Amino acid sequence: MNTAEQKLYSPLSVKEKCARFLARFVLPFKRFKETYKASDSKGRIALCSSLIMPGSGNILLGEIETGFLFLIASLLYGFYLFSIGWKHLFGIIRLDYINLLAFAIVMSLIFLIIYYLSLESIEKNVAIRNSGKKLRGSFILRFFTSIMRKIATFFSSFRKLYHLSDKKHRRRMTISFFIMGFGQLAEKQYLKGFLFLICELGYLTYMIIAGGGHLVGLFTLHVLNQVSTASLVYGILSILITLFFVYLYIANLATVRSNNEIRLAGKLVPTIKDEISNINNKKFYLVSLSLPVAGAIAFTIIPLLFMILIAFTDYGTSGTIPIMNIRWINWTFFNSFVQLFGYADNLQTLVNVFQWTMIWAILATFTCYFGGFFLALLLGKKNVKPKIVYRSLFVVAMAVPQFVTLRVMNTMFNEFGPINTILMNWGLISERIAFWDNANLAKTLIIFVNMWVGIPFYMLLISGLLLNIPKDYYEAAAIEGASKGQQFRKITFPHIFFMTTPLLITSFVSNINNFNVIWLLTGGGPLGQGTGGVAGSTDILITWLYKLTMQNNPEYNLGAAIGIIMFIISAIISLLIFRNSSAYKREEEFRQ
Amino acid sequence: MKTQTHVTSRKIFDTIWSNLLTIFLVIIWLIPIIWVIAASFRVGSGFMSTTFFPSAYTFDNYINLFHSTAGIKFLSWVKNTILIAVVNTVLTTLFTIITAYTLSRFRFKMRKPLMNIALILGMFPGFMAMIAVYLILNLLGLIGNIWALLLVYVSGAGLGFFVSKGYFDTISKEIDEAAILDGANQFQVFFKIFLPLAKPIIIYTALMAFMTPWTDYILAGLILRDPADMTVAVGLYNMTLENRISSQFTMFAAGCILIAIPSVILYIALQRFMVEGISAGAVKG
Repeated sequence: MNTAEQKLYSPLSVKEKCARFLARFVLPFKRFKETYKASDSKGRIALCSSLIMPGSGNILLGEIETGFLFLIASLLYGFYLFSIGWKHLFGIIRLDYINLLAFAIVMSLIFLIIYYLSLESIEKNVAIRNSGKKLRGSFILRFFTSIMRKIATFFSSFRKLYHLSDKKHRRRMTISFFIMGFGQLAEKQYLKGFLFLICELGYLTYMIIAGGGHLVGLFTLHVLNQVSTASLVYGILSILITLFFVYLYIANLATVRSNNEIRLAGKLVPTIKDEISNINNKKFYLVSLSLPVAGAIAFTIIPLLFMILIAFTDYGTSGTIPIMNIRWINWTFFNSFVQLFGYADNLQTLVNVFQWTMIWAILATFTCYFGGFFLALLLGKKNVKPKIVYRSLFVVAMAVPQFVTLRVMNTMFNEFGPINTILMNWGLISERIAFWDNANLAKTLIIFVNMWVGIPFYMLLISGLLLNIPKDYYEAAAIEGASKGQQFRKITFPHIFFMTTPLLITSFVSNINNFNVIWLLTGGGPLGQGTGGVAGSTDILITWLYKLTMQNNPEYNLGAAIGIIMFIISAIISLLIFRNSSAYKREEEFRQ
Repeated sequence: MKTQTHVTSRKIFDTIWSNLLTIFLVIIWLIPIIWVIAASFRVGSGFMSTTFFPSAYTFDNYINLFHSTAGIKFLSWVKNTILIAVVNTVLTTLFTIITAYTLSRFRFKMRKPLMNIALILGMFPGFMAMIAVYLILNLLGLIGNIWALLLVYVSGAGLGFFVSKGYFDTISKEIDEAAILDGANQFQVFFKIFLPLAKPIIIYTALMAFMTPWTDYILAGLILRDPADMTVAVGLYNMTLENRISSQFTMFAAGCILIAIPSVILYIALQRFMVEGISAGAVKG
């Protein structure tokens, strides 16, 4: 072994590791200078402007999304710092807001990281530009240019067909621009033609009678004799209907075009019979997906759009209770977000609730996962019998509806419940413990009760997966003389962990949204000190959202804003994970 | 010789402690359940008791459940729930399976966008939209109607396709292609060839759909307000609210036992499919 190899294989000392890390850290700055010297004036301007305003250089070079992300992040930080952040940083706050100081420090650190990343990215972009290659450019811009190009090719092919056709067909093509289905009817495709015609007539009558008013109502929100929420729902509906109509209109022109293409090629246009068999086979998805998609639009998409829009109104700030007969509401744009982030009380609550949400989600996921793993291994042992009985007993715990077990748990740990009684009877405690009235006790209990609820599920799952590990692995390992512990570490654990990574992520996200456990055990309480608003000390974001929208004095706009924040959190987590998951990587390999 | 006895004694020790640990864990998991069963037979109405097991047993709690007047209409709750559960099982399973089948087997232009939209919709917190659903139902005049609840359940079915799609992706495509070559249309392929192969995941989906109305107290509680219209979950959940729990806890316990029995039987009987369904969702989702 020569010295070079030795150097390569010898473990690095801590000092060397630090040096390497520092070198890696400083590298962009070193390169920054070199790139600056090598680039032309535009590149230099981009680099310099990025030093002052993160992201501006990226926008200058046409990488609009990354640029805007950096820009918005730094602007948000700037806004926060100059409005209330500086007070937190310099400690001009009341003592019970002490963790706002931590929040301010974390925010500043995050900003520094963003600043660093923006410099790294602009340096990379300018270097790419200097080397003569083209930048990838803005995704959104590319998206729109590709759509424009598609439309342009569509119409140019239409024009070509028009010039190739005789007078009769030219007339038909012109009319089908105005009367949907005319082209199809002329070609004796009665079913299709009539459907298009009916759709157009229906849409026009709808727009004249109601839709136009609904569209206007979406912007004003003040329609006579109509509550604003209804205007909002109708407005969303009219926009969706209009989008659908545009789609139908394009589909209409597309069939006219394809009919003419077929005709010019000297073939027969498809008849009704052909269409039906087509729907039975190739276009089966039109039949099978129409109902599910319609359902999703009616009771998932419209409500979600509604709630997203509500976040930008003042719905609920006055504290009026009933949902109907409410006064008119107004568009207030980002006011609810300003309310959430801009006031120390609300921000404090948000930070507290967010902290506990994250701690809860991490602990709940890992305790249940590893507990289930352990239980699966225990029940999988050869000498634990009768397996099926034990497993079924755990399944019983899973089968009882959650609201039952959790309400029962709540009662059991009640100040006057059986646990306290038994502990008193045995003389272990001298006075009753109010488990749910102490924030820390309640949090600990929540984690343990959640283990009770969640472990059977993971046990079932992992014992199913354990059976899938090929037996020869263990036989080979036993022959090699590996101990049970080694077998577990080298075979069982990696195998299961690899297979269940996607599950871990989804269950982390679903724990962020785990309403049942918190709500049924504590209802978010106890109301602690230092928490403003209605959030209690065991409230997670979702239960807080529930309280804000479903209880007395609802604040719908704040609830909706919290919902949007939660969406952003789950989306970021899922995106980060999916980008690192094998499926995504494989797709990347496939592209190259 | 000596090492062998050492090994066997270690084995015996191992057997003993693993069995003891298992039994201990089983007991922990059963304590709350046993306590509810005991409470459901206890004389009295509240949850306070001086002992773990009641000192006197009675069937009154079960009988009162069916004859009590104080807003407790257990019989009609069960009837409503069974009605919703059965219809929901049929329709939701059908929609979910058909959506998953289409997205797994067909390649069309809107496929990727549709799946991405479903993924994005799934990232919004579950009942952020619930108040809006309530408003829409109110505009349609459907509040207080159990069919409205069913409508909401079924219309969400299409979005729950991920688990079943993951399972379907593993079923070989060649079989249905061969059938198409032999002249079968898509409906025949789906019903005659595909469904029998997908039995485990269908049973899993159906079980989940069947259990929904037995466990959902939030949406159902929002839509169903009149005691006679409620489902079991809403009615029982309301009995545990702070002002009622001290006077109705033993009755609540009795009701819980009654609804837990069928669900426990279903879960234990369908355990095998549960495992397959859960692992399909976990590994390929």
